[in-house]
Amino acid sequence: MDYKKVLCGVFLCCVFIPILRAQEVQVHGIISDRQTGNSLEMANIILKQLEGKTLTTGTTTDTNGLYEMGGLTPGTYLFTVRYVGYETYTDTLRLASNRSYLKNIRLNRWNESLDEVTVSGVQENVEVGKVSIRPEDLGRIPSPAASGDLASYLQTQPGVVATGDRGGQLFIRGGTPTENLVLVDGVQIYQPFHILGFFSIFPEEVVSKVDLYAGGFGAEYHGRTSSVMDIQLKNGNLYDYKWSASISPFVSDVFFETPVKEGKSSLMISMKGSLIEESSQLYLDEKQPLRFNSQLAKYSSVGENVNCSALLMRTYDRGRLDFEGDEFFKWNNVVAGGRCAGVSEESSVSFFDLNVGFSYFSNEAGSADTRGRFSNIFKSDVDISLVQNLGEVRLDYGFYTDFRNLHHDMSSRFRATEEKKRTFLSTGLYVKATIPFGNKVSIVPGVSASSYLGKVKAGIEPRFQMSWRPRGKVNEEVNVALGIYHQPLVGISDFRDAGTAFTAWRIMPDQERRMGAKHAILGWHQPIGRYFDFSVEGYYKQMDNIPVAAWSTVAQSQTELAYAKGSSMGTDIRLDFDSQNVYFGVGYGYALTEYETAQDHFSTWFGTPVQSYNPPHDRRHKLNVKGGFDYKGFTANVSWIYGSGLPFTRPLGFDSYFSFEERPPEIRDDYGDPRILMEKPFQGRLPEFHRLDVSLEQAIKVSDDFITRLQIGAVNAYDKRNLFFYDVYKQQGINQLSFMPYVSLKIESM
Amino acid sequence: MNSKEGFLAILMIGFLIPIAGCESNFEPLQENDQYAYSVYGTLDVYADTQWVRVTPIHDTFISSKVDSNNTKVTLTQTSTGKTVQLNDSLFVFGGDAYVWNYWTTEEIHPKEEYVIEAEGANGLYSSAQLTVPDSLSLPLVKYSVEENRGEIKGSSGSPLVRMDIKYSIQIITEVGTLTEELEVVSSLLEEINRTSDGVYLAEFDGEELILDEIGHNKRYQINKRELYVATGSESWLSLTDLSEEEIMSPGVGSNIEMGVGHVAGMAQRKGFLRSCYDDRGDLIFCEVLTKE
Repeated sequence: MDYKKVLCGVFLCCVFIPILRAQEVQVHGIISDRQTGNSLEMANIILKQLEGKTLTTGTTTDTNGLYEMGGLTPGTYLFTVRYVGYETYTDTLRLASNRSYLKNIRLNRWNESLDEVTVSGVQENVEVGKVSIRPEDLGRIPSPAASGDLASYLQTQPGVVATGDRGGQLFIRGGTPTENLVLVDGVQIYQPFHILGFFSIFPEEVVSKVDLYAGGFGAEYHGRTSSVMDIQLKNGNLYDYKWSASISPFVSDVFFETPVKEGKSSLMISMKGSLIEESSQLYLDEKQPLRFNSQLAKYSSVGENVNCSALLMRTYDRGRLDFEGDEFFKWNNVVAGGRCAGVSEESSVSFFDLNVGFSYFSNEAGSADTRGRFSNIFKSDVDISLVQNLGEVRLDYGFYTDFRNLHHDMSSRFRATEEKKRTFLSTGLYVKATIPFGNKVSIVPGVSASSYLGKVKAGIEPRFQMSWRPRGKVNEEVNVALGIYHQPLVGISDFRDAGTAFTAWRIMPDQERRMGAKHAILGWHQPIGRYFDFSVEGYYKQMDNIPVAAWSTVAQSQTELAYAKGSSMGTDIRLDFDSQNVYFGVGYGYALTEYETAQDHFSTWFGTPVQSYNPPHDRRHKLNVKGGFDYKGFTANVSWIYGSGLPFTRPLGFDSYFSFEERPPEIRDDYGDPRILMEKPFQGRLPEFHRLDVSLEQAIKVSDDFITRLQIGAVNAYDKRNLFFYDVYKQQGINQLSFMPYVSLKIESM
Repeated sequence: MNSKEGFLAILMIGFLIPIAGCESNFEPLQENDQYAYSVYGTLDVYADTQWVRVTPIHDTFISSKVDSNNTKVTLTQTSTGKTVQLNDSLFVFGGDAYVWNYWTTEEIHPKEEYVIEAEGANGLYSSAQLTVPDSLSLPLVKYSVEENRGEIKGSSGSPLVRMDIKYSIQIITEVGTLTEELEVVSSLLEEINRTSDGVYLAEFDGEELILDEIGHNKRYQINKRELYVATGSESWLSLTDLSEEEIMSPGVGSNIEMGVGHVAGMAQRKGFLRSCYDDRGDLIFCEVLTKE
């Protein structure tokens, strides 16, 4: 019996044994925000029996705002819904036997006037490897704009490595940017981060919540081997017209939301455009040749039981990472999607989520005197996810099919990549079961199966998660996650010198290979008192068939692809304090990422064909301290990031080389070919990185209709010279942003 | 904000302030104790002056440092023990790339072993040992000036490392004027057939060689036709079937101790192509001219 059969047997036993328990009365529904219709995760639902045994039972909503309470006895109950920042909802329910009740609740926010509702305390759905990010979290990280941004926030997270403050490349727990799956309302976006690293297409105004899975993610996610960023956009306001506009030296943006049909449907639009290229000429020593803009529109329709939305996004980025060089990078995304999700009283399916998405991404790199590289990818997909409760067991399952069209032209850069255009169809399904054992232990076995119609080997990817609540308390958990992950498409980037933002998407050049990873994570999450929150996670990732640029000393010329196997292990530790007016957080991440690759010419240079090295994103230590407070209309935020040095390949020295091919060298007539005498790959380390960002904001109520928010702040407040990358050919360090003060102004409607 | 929260805020700021001002040193180059000098050149039996490039491994991509570190370069004939010191000469390329070439008029003898040593005032030291091939006879050539094609025939016991046809030409413009003189050099090494007794043969089509270089729709006139043939010692740097990365490896083909590069012995002959005819007016093989 092979391991797959054993796995299936265990899975079936786990699912069906608890189902055999008796089913009685059930209540389920969705808890959402009344103003927008956005679902609320981790809302507390309490049912208290008012007669007889006065039994009290409770649950919390999942990521879709869905709750399900089964095994109830007929009777009269006090039904209570609580969510931090919202008015408590209470009702009386009379439940008859052998019935399933649908109870959707839309909660009102506390105070919708001038002062924003401050959500404090611990409010997180604990899953190992997952960080839940709320819009207000984004606003707590200083960014050189009037609003917080997801890109700035992510860089403060342990386990997330940005190689610099431009390029828009994020590495998560040893995985490269192309191994990260980014979903926006269920639709994939390939490069959501702008070329200036503080910004993404997601300012805090448009975000409802973000679930960042740094590893160990469940069977519902497929096609990536490192991480998942699942972004839920806010719906437009169903009752009020609201708008805001802001400007800073870096960026300006406009946001507005309006009901289309009051209480039923809404529209939200957000637009952003960079100003740094123009403003840097006015008040900085050096022009910053970085330009970007993005537009986002979402239409939402909120029904009794079903919510639907349509999404349209576009981004454009263009710029040079080395300001003095002439190599430019350019990319754009176009994303469109439609989604309907909801619950049904009649059906045995508790929840369904249907997605249709289209995503196009193109990027290019080049310079005035070299041939450019170009790559684009188009993806359309349809997927459906269903939730069904079978007794105490919750079953999540779904199906997907997608079509991709890939096109690249980078023959001047990668000799091994001969293919120009490919189409690619894939289909798959997943199933996972959440099986509780009492109120302390639950396990979530799952499996994802994908077929690529022969172009890539089909894959079955088992996943497993377990949580143990020693005292039965929510948020006080020990978690385990295990999983196998495959990636049919690879994004090829040449990170040898870190100064790149170009990615060519393609099917693995060698079809016998398939990029894969195995994850193992162990985590402990512990609230301490009312305001403190502590978590620690250890992880290990084993990676196979990672495409890497072949090691070469040839300056700015063509190279070949090679394959590496690797591992990444580390620990992320977080301690947060969050009271009503003051918050403080410390995060530390230790990571050790190693690649091992065999390349023929290693034997020539180093005497052995296999070399082990730490790739250029191996930031061994990362520390972040952040904090802020609100006081008499002022809001101050501070963020300090420290990162140990990133690997790079050090030269031993330089000479001019002569070939003796064809004829003897003419040393009197020819300088020779400049040559770098290299050490083994990535044996050197760039200097450590640290940066302090600060901001101070004051909200001023101008009239009953709108308020202004004036913010002053600084990026790199103590002007640390942080190296972005070192160009060994020019022997020049390319620095990140120096001290950059800014003032921003935001006007918003009440 | 109450007093406890205020204390926390101050504590947080106090923690961050001492961090400011920390700077760390960054040394982009690995300490180099493997390679002292880059040494390239040849010792030619038939050359009046021998030239060898000896440049300290430098720490910039292009060598802009003109200091030779008082390097002394010597040439020693192993069999006699005779040592001569080479003269230094600073060369500049492209206005900012400086190198040191060393020269001597010392006669180089066939089949002899030589040692070149470079020693700097700061203790840098590299050396190379090489053997010079046997003397080389001028090949015979059957060449038609009119058709600009011919055959080359010769013999040597040593490997052939150069066979070039070098034309000095002027392109005839559309209005009938002549451009400045330019050189077209084509290697015939790939065209050579060798027999086991050391005889080598090569055919060439000079018309095609020139047109490949200047374009097939051009007219030109030939001012000079030169032939270069050279043999090298058995250790001559052979790069066949190596990738670009391998060729650039400092260890590949290098005969420099404590350094990188290659110094080889060779016997190079130069001649001028001419047409020779027998009594019946047919082209025949004859020796190339040694003088123009």
